[in-house]
Amino acid sequence: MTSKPLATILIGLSLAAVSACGASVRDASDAASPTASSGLDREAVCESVTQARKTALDRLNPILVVLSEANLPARRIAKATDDVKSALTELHVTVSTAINNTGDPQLKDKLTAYQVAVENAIVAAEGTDGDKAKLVAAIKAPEMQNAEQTLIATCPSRPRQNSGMSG
Amino acid sequence: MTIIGRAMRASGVAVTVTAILVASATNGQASAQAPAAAAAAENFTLIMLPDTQYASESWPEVYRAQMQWVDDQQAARNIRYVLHVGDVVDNSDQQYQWNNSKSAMGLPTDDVPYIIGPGNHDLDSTSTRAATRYNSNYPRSTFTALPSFGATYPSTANDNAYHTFTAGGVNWLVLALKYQPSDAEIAWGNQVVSAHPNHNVILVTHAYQNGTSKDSTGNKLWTNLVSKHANFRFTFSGHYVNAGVITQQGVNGNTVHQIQADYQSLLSRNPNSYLRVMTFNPTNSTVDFKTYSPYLNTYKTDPKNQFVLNVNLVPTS
Repeated sequence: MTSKPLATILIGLSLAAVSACGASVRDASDAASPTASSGLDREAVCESVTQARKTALDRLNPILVVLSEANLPARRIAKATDDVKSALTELHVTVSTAINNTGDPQLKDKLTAYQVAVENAIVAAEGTDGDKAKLVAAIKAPEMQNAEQTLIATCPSRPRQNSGMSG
Repeated sequence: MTIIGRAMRASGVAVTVTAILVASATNGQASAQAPAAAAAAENFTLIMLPDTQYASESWPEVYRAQMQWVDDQQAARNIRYVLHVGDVVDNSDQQYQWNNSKSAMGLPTDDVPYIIGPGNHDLDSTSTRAATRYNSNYPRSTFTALPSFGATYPSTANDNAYHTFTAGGVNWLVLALKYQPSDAEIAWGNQVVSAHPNHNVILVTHAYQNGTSKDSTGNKLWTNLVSKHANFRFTFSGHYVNAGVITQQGVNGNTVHQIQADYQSLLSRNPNSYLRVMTFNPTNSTVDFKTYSPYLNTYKTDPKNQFVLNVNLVPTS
């Protein structure tokens, strides 16, 4: 997987946020100045989250393969845990940014539910303490998958949205 | 800059804030016309201690190095407070991790006082949010002797706390709220802040933002607490392995810098050794942020980790 598309999306959304609120507060560092915005259109927000979820899945699926191995050393489980946290943390950034960038209350509600589900998955992954089964459960958390499906149903119907969100 | 000048800016609605990448040192020079004010508005330093969970678990030497450095630098940098953003330990049921943390932190009354916003790993359970083990190791009674001690919520436990102190010629209030504060805890926070209108308020809580985006707790806290008060100036949080600043104006026009950093690593020792050194220059109305590892004697110098923010301080009435 490559993180470049996600980075591109994030930069794009950040620029859009600054433009939308009309405030020039911040610098070239990793800083933001969000305010309530009229929002990007539903399609653009959905596209950003869908792409981010696909990127996350591209990172998580190989980890699931690793975790299926027998007698996995503790060091590799620790690496897998860090990788899961990293993938979910990047996904969380995009979902959280999307919430700021939509003025659509219905979409905002669905995105918020997804955001909370990803937050819970991050906490669950952090708390696995070397337990492979718990880490797999965190990746496949039903709450997260349900929130994804609900979000998909809210988004405009586009074939490639469905392709990446089936965790 | 005089105290009067700061007061005028602090009361103004149209606050302009710029953040400056640190390409050069700040140029803080005391005003010759106001020696008394300049003396009162001395530079001072706050330390932000991001998630120490894996240091407590596996690398206590880096945690001890952090706090030893704080003690060693207290006088030279005028370090006034340490703000621990929570996840002191990884496993709250492992007493050795609490012992490692306490060995590093010492007592808050020893040298530099500190306050902690307990994180999810510090709780007995994230579902019940009970903090029995945290309170056993960092009990309220350990903090009540501090001159800066304000109160706790609940009144008998250290789950949530506020401390006050004076630095740089102005008053400060640090409000530390437990991971994912409840409505009742947020209501208490509102009461505390409302009762201290002449204090510059800092919120310390574990989960609030992921880099430059607020999480669900951050959105709740911004709407129901932080944005509502004219004297809020900063929030500090950790939790997500990321770093970022969100600068926003509250409903009263005051600018609030919301700052997050977390360098935790389960895999290797060194990333866990960084802390934030925040040097306030009241004369210039700036805060210089640096990210430093006392263990490695190394700074992170990228723009996420080294920057300067402007701040308009609430003057002492």
